[in-house]
Amino acid sequence: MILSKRIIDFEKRPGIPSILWMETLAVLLAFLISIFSGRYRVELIELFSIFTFSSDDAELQILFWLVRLPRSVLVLTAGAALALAGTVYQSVFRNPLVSPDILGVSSGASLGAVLSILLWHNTGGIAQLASFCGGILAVVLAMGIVRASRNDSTLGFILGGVMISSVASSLVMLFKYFADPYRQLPAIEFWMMGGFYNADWEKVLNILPVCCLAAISIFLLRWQLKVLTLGDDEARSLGVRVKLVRGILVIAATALVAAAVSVAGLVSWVGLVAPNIVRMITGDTSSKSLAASLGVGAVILLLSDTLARSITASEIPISVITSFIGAPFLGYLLWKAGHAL
Amino acid sequence: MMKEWNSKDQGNLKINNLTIRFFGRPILENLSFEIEKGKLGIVLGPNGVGKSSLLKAIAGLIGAERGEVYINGLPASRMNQKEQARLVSYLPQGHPIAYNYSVQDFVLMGRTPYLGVFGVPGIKDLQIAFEALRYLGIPDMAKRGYLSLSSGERQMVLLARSLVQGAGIMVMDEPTTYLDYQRQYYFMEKLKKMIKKYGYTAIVSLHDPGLALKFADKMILLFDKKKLAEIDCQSKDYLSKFDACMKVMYGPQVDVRKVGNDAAVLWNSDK
Repeated sequence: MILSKRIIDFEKRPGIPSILWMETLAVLLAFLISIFSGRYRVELIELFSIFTFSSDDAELQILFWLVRLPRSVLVLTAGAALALAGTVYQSVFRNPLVSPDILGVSSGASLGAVLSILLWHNTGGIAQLASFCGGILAVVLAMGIVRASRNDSTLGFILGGVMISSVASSLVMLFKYFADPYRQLPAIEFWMMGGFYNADWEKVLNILPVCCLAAISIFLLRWQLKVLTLGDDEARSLGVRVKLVRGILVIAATALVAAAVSVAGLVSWVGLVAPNIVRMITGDTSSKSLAASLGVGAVILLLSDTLARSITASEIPISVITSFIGAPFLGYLLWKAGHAL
Repeated sequence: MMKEWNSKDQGNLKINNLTIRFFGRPILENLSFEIEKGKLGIVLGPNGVGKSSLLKAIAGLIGAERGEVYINGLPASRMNQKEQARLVSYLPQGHPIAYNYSVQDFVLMGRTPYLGVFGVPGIKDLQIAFEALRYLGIPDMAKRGYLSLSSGERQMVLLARSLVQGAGIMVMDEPTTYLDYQRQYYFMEKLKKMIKKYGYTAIVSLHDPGLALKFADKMILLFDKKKLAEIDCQSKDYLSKFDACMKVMYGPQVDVRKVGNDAAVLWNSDK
């Protein structure tokens, strides 16, 4: 009896559920801030009439349903996706300073978008699809290089990613050189700077199924992911099919990043910073870090997006904000790591 | 409850004519030996002789060029990763852990071979983990972060993980390397008690011949890509045999002497 009571004590992980509740609250708050801030003032009192479609202000109705809400939902989805992908990448590569870009997904996505702008003069749906495919393709190629070189260590993956990234970046540069400087070049630059200024429900619907599918696969494989962080040999000796599981996880995480990048362009730092914030909050001992990373990523991106469109009269690229927050935070992490030694 | 992680299968380990190559370069050639159930086998040999490769081959982490590892009489090359993980546990030599999991989660990872690919350990696995921690006298550590533990505590946690893995054969690559003098003996004592109690078989590589002499049931001595000798520590002349092997492996300075009921390994600089 004493034993069973102690086991129950053992099972309880105080703090973790409450962290998830607090996070849900934070996400809700950030979401509300995001919806209510902007050029056009929306009062809290009007929320009810907006939701019941009984507002007198038709313009407000349209603004809320077709501009604000889809944008906030898209930002939330992208933030959660980037953070989850970051957590997976950092676990798979056993390094807390890895960002989801490491296997070339961002450069691949950029190349896809640039090609679509050059070939089809399109910055809408086709660019979105092309950048999504470009991102996935880059990572598949990087993994192919690793396979061909028969060096499937972490270093091998990182080198494969560096190769693909640099080839894709130089192709982007080449295409920019040949692009029409008055129409195409600005479109390319604009895409690369990233932002949610043209968010709509179509974009939300385009990425939501992919994100859900990828997130569910990652959650289903959460224990295998955890064991994978012990290193290849140990994971295999515990019965994990390392290559298969790692392959699925990397592809799922890549799909998340590619989806986010395809609707928002390059959004830097969130994937790197959010998982580290989660580790700081949960003290690293939690098995709920995947769920927690969703909330942290969503909050970071919602607040960054709100800042990006409210600190100046015209909107500034969101990466400017995330970089200003992210880069010093990385410095802090390095400082902390240095002091821990 | 103990039965849950008590290996039902026998833990007989047999190596038959094993040849391991690394990118065509021979590491070990024509190695054969057997360790019976419940015995502690210790692998000794100079740096780079292939101890780690041998242990990895037993754990199914690297393939053999020729020959076969038999686990409970069954060829390991026909087992899949999961089947082998239920029969053989493996502790690598000094493993860098990137993330600070709780000891509880860390020990629970030993239950992975019994979970489906989408599975997560349940309350039963937790009870097993807790039992193992209690058996090793460290239940209070359950909530602590693995990275906050000392080397000695970490080895105990790894021992607990091997225990909950329930594999009849435990493979450990230099588990005592980072331990102080006392903890090296403490670790080996715990390990030996544990395998006696649960009928496990262990194969452990070490560097310290004194430690090996104290605990081994059988010693496998590797030298120059081959098995130099296989010494049964119950045999009468095992000390003189061990002495001769040590001199071949490490030079004439090594002297193994009988001291009362024990034996000591000495180093004579004069020779």
